[in-house]
Amino acid sequence: MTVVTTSRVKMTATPITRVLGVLALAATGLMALLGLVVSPADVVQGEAVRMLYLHVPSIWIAYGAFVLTSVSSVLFLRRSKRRADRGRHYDRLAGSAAEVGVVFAGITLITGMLWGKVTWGTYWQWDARLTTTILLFVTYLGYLALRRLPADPMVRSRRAAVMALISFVNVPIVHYSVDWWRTLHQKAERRTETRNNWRNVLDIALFHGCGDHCGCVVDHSPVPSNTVRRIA
Amino acid sequence: MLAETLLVARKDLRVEWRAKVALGQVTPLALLILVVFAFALDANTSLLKLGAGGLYWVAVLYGGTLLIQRSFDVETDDGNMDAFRMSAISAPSLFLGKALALFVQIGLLELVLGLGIAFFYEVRIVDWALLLVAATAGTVAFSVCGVLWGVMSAGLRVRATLLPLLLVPVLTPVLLAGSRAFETALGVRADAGWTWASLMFVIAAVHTAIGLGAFGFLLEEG
Repeated sequence: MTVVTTSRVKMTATPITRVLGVLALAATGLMALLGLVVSPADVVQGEAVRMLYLHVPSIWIAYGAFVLTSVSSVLFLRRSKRRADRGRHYDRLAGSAAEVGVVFAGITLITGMLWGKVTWGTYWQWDARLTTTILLFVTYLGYLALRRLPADPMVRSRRAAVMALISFVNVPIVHYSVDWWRTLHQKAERRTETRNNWRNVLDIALFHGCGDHCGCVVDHSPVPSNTVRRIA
Repeated sequence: MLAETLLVARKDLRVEWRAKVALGQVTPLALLILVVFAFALDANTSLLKLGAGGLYWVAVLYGGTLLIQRSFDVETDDGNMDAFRMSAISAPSLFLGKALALFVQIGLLELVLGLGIAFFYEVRIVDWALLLVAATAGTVAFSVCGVLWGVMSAGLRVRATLLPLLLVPVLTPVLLAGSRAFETALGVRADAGWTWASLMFVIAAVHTAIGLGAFGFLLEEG
């Protein structure tokens, strides 16, 4: 006779995280609708422009996650120096943020390669932005590998925290690589002119600060002379 | 602090001199890599001359990683890390001492590899000053990065695979800058060789600053 036992799985969600999850899902759906259906194709880039709606916000989320990893690591080192059992939650926060950052850096690389194939004719170019981005990705993969090693938890956490601080040096290098070196990737630029149509919602929501990463200013206007300003 | 730094460096170099691992194993292996590169490129001399700078630094990266690994294996295998923690030597002195010892070992490796590319690849040096400055900058960068990342993987069971995974992405900018500076010094490329050499010093300075501040945390055990 087989005895089947059931156990109640403990949920870790709180009412706030549930609401946030629902809101995030709704916002993702809305952005997908605006980006894939409502927004027209770009005059120059065509349908490939939709890749940038994912590409640019992804790297900004990755940057934000890596900032959070670094700040949490500093707080962990400070707290744990006073008492070894203090600040563990900062260590966990650093690890979680790094996981999110790595996923979004990966999405940035994949979407960038797909966009590059359509626009540049090749998946990969050894230019400064692409190379530094993949180094950033691999560095944080190393960070996550360090966090999973079989070792004393406190030793592992301290080493990981120091590594997080060192790895963060790469973030400004990735961001400013287009200014410091000659690259195929577009230079950073912010759009200054204002427009009064609904498409600004997309630009603001998806390209806020995008000029900094992608440098590609998208215009869906039907007038060809003022279409896409690609900064070479 | 200087006395402590020199004490640690002397200790590391004495251990290495007695074991002769760097001289007897790592250097011949790195030279062998230069030969293998030649086979891979079909012994095409003009191609080897063009790529000599990059191939040289890849060989340094490989040999340097082995030296860094060994520098910390010596400490962890005999429980020396505990001795360091209990000693009166400060963490910054320990960091600088180990970096100095690695600087000497990697410098010797680079010297032999330099003779190797001159002999095997028939390169011609057009700017000696740039070559020497770039080699020094690269050696400093490799040494300080090596100590910082070497201690991070020290004592862990998977250190043999972890160290290259952590170290290579960090050293890639050094590799790139070193290759460009060497290409200029060897007359292959008319480029800003001095700028690339300066970049290596900047990388070394950043890692030295982090190492001086963070080495204490990395030495502490739970």
